[in-house]
Amino acid sequence: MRKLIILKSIVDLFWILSLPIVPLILIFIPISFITADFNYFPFKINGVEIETFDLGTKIILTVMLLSYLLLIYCIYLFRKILTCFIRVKIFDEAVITNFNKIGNLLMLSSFLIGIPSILYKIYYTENIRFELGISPFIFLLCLGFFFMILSEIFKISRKMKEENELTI
Amino acid sequence: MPIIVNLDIMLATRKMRSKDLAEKIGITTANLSVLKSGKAKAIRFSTLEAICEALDCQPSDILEFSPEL
Repeated sequence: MRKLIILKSIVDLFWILSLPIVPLILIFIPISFITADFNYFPFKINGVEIETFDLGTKIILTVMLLSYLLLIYCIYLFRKILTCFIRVKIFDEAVITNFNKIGNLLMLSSFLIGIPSILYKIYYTENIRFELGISPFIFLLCLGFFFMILSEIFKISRKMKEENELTI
Repeated sequence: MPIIVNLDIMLATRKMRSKDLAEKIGITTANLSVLKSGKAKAIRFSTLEAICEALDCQPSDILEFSPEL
């Protein structure tokens, strides 16, 4: 149980630190469309510094920021799961639903991060490179699938637990 | 579930209370109630053996298969 408490503390800390970013993102998105030029903010998309701020770049940036909001929501759901674990509600319906939700959101987030960054590279830097290694897109996609599988496993475990409890 | 548990009838014919049977076979009254109500998903051979021994009957007297249900 000590490991669970340590994990909960780390996730809580990360959640608290990421909370102030949410209103900033929500304020920044409409401002970015109103302001014509804001070169005073240094931006990077997957290691590529943004130099031109046209509508396309702004849309790409907005989509990527929205995916970041989804990741923060995933942390919130994960906190809820850890709270259930601490209360020894391991096979609760909320745990299964939240694991599935996290999986779906991570997959969506991976596409929201992956596709705009590819589009940016194609349209603005005009060079396509093949890189080996773990990219954020692949990592989030795998993590999403992992959480979805975890949800399925918990669903099976819950059924087995119920059957075990109803075996006289 | 198409399996019917006729434990109620067996207890009534032997004029035995659920509490007494539960004590005799070594399970809780709550578990016996689950078995009687048909909510049970499975029954252990050891439990079935104990019930048959306590009620002096055969497993077929307790369990019945009815495909209509």
